[in-house]
Amino acid sequence: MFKMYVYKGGIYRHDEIIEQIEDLGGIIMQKTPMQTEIDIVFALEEVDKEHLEKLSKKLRGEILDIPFGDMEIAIVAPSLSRHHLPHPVCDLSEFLRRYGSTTNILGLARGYGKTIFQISDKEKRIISEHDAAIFSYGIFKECIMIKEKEIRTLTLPYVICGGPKNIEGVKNYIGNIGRKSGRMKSSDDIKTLENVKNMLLEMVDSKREEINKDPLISPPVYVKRALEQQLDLEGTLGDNPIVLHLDGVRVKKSFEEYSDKVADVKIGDYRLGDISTITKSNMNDTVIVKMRTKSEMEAD
Amino acid sequence: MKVFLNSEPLETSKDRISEIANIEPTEKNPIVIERKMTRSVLLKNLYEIDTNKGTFTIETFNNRFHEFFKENIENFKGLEIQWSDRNTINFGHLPIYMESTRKQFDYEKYTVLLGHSGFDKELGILTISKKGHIARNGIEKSVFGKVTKGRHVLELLSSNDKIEDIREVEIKSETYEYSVLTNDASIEENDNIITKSVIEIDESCPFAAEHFLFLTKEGYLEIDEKNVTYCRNNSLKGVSLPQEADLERSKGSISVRNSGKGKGCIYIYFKDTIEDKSHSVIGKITKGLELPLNLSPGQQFKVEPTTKRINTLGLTQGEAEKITEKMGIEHQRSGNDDDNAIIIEQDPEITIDAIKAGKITTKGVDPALVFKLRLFQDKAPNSAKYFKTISGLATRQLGRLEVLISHEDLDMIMFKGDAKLAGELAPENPPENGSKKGRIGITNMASRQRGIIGVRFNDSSDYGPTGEDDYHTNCIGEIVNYEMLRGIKEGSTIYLLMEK
Repeated sequence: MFKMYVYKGGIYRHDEIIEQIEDLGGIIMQKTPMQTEIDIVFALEEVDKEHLEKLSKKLRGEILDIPFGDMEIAIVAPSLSRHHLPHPVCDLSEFLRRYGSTTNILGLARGYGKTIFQISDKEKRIISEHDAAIFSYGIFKECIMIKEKEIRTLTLPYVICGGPKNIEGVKNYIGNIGRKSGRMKSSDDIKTLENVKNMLLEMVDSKREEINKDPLISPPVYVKRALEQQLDLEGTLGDNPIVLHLDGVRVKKSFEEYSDKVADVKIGDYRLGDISTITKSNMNDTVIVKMRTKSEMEAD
Repeated sequence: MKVFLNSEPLETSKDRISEIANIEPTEKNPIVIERKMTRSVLLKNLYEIDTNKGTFTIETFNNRFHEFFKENIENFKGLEIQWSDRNTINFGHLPIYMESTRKQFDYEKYTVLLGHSGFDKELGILTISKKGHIARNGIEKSVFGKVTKGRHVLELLSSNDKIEDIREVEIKSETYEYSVLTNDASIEENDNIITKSVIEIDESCPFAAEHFLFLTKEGYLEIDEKNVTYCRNNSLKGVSLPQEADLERSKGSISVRNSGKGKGCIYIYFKDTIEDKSHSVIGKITKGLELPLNLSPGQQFKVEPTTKRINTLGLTQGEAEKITEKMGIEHQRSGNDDDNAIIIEQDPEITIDAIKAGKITTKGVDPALVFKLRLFQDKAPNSAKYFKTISGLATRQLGRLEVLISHEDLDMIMFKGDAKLAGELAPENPPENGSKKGRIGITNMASRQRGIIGVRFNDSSDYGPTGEDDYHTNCIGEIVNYEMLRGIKEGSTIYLLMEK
């Protein structure tokens, strides 16, 4: 199974790293040269990392894991008002991006208040389009307990963040991230953010293991490369038109215009439309591609 | 005693490798013995459930509910779907005499559990959760497994569908022990002696296939580098190849790199790997992948491509006739058609194209017009490699050089090189006591004119064959019949053969 890594090193002889990634069957996702330094984001099978590390050490570079590199994570706040935003939500979002994630901040339409809290079916569907979610629920214990019940039916890995240190009966809860009046940059705050990351990582790893047991017909990184090459959708530093998911990709293009083109893309011997389910996103006018599993294809 | 030679069964009374396989393993050229070890049967808690809509697999945990399921597996066969909704699928009914409860519990997606329909022990059910939900299923925390494969089937199941069969999945494993032998040893019954790798050549990448066939013309391939994904041969590193079809590199595939610093290197893959534009896949090892898998860098193994190379360049017309006759290919002579004429052109030149056409045309010239060459491989290895790459001698028997500068008043002749390739050509083997006539010199990286190749017609105490001083000149060999180079015009091509 592919994992995401980043190579950080000098620009001198970085072509050797790229060549070796290609030889090992990896995929280069992004190259960011910065004067004499370069960052190369790539996907590679875990067993091959050791071999590449030998070369990277020789070139005085380093290879770092980016565990959320192939994920889109939703950071959900009860509302987009000043009352619930920005500090905890933006800090969480920024912190996860350091580990490679693409994050989207969502505010609920009727998410404020203890007794009038609601989460609509459409909002649940939007959140479920992501690979994982983080709910930032404020500082009141009772409020968090009531709001937690509403999201129990979600099947994606999620973490609930709130002010109280511990709340009994609330699953996947991390405390000490309540209402914040400034940036979370003290060592305690960073430790708390680390806890959120570790809890999420544990859940995501078990999801990956589940996918591994019934593997996808084609890895999403491979689909991303094929889409970029065949539809000429190479991203720039500011815009990444194809976002990786654990079980597919999101193509940030109009569904009407692009759904047929995406379906016609060749993935090895297959047509993408035949080995995946292509739907319109609930969030915006984008294309969601969910890969089918090998067992599903064998059954056909 | 029954043994296997390259996986083919063989009855023999002998027990030494040299007697059975007619080959004596050495440190450089070892063989591999495959020995089947004890058979073991691994039983995991896996069950395949066949329904009329398809099969799904469940992985169970060890608890009392799993015990019940395992003991009553026959009773679960034939159960029909009693009801299904957006959260669950429920197969029933069978009696489950367990304590009933009206409490509600959380159930995760794809879990498998037991329950009581209407809290009645006689109406036991097997429930499969399609999504995370909260429910009263009649038995406390009765989850005993999870659907791991074929989850799509759950969406297809509806009323009137039923379980047709339930099977425990057995994972059988036969372990093989591989040993690399470097000397003549005795073997045991049922051992498989692996002495060669059989390679099926693919037609999609003819240039890369030609490259590989040239490298293995002696029948051996050496391993220079190895890791868990591939092993690599660097003998022809630096040789340029065109980009051809990019095919998937499956287990056993052989590919040639066509760009970058490692161009010309040959790779053998040990696991399935995705395609890449930089790799031209030339074929696949169909038998004997165990050899590269077990050998170490520095060792070589025998290879047997299913396609034989047809390249008559540098041979005589007579020799080419015999080869084509043996291979069943039509041969047409052009130019000098004498039996002793040296072939300088073959059409088509690439083996795969020639086999497709079923015919080759060879152009011959007088042997006196082909230049004989001696290379100082030991004294100037890097420069000799550069020369071979430029002249094409790296991948062919016959080399070609294009004349860059030639004039009747000039005491030397110069040929085109590749300044980029010569960028790493450090000074080696400089002329000693002046440059001798007939010697081949290359301007090294110390000069701006790097890469140029030259030959002098007379001795010179001051300048090398390319007109540079000693420090900028690498002396790489000599042309035996150099006198004939006089009078050759600029822009023409000369042909070279290594002296036998």
